[in-house]
Amino acid sequence: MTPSTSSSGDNGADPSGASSTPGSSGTAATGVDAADVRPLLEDDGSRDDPALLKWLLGLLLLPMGLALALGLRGAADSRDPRIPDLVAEFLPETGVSNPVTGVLLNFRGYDTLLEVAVLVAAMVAVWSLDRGERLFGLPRGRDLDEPVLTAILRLAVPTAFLTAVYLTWLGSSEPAGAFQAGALLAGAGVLLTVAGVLRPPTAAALPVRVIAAGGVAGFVVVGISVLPFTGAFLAYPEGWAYPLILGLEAALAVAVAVILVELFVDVPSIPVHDPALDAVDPYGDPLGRALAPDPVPPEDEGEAS
Amino acid sequence: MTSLDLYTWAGVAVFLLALHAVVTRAHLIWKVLAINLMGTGVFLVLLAAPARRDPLMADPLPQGMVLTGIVVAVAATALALGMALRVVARTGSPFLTVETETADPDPDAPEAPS
Repeated sequence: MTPSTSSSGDNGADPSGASSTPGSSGTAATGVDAADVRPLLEDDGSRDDPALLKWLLGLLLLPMGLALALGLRGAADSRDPRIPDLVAEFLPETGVSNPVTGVLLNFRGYDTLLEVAVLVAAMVAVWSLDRGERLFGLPRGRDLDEPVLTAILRLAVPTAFLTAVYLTWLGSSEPAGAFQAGALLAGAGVLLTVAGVLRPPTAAALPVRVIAAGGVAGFVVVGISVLPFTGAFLAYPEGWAYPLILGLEAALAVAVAVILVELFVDVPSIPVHDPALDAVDPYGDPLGRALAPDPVPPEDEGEAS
Repeated sequence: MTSLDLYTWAGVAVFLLALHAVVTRAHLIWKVLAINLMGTGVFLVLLAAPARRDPLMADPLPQGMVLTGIVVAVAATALALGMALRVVARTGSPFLTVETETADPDPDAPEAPS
């Protein structure tokens, strides 16, 4: 199974071919060819469980599925039916008219606060996996030479931005909100990053840290600052619920967008196995970055029994 | 059997199919995607089960929980994929290998003088 086409389509405008030649480690900051990485990730299924085991497991899962489905039916019939009515009854006090937003940002504000904290934690964890170069983005100083892509970006990115603002505002009355808006913004950000227009800031960049932490920080600040008025964490004073929720949603949307883009662009870069490179630096990769020398057992002796 | 029952059954089916893939597939990205899909099955059940009582009035509580869960699942999947790529970067292989022979004493080693 060979990679479908040569990579000339992607790199047609790049006569230097800097992506995988050994001598260019100084300049090849980014731009790993997907075709070079693909063989590393190929899966012919030979390491999967044998077919007999697969069928056996399938048979085993059938009664489990039956039990789960029947049990869930029973659970659905026996649950407390008052919750929707309770939410509907107290919805006017939340400051918003969309019950889901009311649950997320008022009744269950703790959940949303911790959810954003989980996002920040995931971003930090992905950062800690790899502080090296990125898989995406053009090297600095190179122009985007793709007329179709440029035209699409000019249409899609402003539209996405505008729609995200609208969705954030709409969340108080209709099914929408900060996370939908954040996902849309993140989509625009990923598009810009893959196209090479937006050079993703490094993990150490202060603006990224401030914005990403802004969602959690905003929640905590609001939660504490309402304490003197209502006596409870995240219990909004009367009349203040709507502006506070809207402000929190705006901060959340931006924070979620930045975190999602960071999660996307901060994937660890994959070194392409190249014997010529091994001769120069056994732990190096085409990105010119040295990997820490982990003790890797030699491949040809791993099969010995 | 209503259409909401169908959603519950579909959620269970998605969950179990994904569980099957987690166990039998060796490729790390298969495993990560399958775990993500297991979560999707759970979300489907969570959304369908409470609506059985009154299909016209959805329960906003599970909807909020699922919305939260989707975001957390995205973050967890991104982290897992990052870790899988790190494994590829370190070992050159997208499979987890079980090392069984690393602790073997070398039989050809010269005997210690007695």
